Amino acid sequence: GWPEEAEAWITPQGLADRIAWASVLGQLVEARWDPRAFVEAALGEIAGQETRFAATRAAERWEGLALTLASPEFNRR
Amino acid sequence: MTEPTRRAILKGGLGVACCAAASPLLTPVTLAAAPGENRLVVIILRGAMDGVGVFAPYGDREYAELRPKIGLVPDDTLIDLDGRFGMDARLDALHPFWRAGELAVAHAVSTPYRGKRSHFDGQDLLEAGIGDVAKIDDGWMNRALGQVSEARAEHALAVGREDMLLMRGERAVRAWTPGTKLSLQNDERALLQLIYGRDPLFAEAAAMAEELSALGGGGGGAKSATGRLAKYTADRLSEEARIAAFSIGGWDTHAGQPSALGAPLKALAEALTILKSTLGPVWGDTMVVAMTEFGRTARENGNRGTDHGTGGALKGGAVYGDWPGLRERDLYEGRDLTPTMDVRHYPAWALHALFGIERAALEGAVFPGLEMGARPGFIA
Repeated sequence: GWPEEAEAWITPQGLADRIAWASVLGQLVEARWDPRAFVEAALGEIAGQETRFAATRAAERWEGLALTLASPEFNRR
Repeated sequence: MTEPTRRAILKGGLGVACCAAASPLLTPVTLAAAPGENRLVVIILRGAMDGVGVFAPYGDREYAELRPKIGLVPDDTLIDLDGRFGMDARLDALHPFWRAGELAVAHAVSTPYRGKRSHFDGQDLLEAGIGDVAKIDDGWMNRALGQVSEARAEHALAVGREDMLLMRGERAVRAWTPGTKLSLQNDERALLQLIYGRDPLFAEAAAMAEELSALGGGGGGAKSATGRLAKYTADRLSEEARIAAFSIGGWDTHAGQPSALGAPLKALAEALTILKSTLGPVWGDTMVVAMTEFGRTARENGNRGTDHGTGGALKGGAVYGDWPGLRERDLYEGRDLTPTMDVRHYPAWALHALFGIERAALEGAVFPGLEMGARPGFIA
């Protein structure tokens, strides 16, 4: 999205909603997506070091997916 | 029956504590035909539970040296079990289980997994019941179901939001998903902050969102979610179901471990007490096994936490396992509790005693590569 739009919704509540959405989406996935593969597929080279680290290090699969979905890289696209 | 068979068994992955709960009146069966009267519940503890932290070897001199800030203290944060091991006082609801001989802990157990200490791979191997990540396909509970003639889909139940590999496979099973949603906890919240750290816009918004959410008194969701899972599981086991599985997360305590363990310990205690109280007379025919993918480092880290390790623990009316010790030279790679037994030993014997599955099938199809060895003391 455009930078202007990002500023509009990256408010505390807006971000909290976005994180909640990412968490739910991570839990809804039926197939056993591997977060390590997902961060590559979703972001590829755009993925920052921290995002890649977080997605691969999460304790449960749905969390790894949610962290990628909640990342700035994913949401600024 | 003289064997104290009611035990809570929590199984650990690498060097993790594993414990099991079962009725002393449990009757082992010899014929593998469904449905029978025995029930098995498997709880997967996701995040690598710290066996040394939860079922602390406080009698070992090295324990206090390895855990100067986060170690448990007798009569304060620790409840003694047998004079050498104790458990986190927040599991006090399980103390009656222990006194009744219904709780079993086995230390220093692990899957064959070594190396990267990845949660995803560790949990997959724990649920697949094999040793090779490349060969992961189905879960051992599904394969076990395949060994029981006349077993039907309604006998097996996977409960919870996630897709459990443990129950996946050729045999049809039933699944139930509760309405409650999980939210990021503990270490994963820290990971999110790490991700946002580089982006000022996100960082500021996230920090304020955290404050707002703290004010809102969130966090109650996890407890009630586990309670619902346990209640639903027990209700179904009281009717048509015979094997069931669900998960409890939140064990990945890299930082601030003492407080971070509060929620998952509460969930675990709640799960076991609700299972027992809801099952009522059926509890007499039930065994609960709780397992985690691996343990954590013997030493605490600089953030009052522990990092991924190897050996874990399992429990049952006594503390079982071949305790390897905590001296420097006893530790695996100088950092983790050394596993001295394959964790699959315990569910294999449980399946053998509860459902009559033969040892050859358990060592072959269900847990390839496992040598079952001697019957554990808590199985009649």
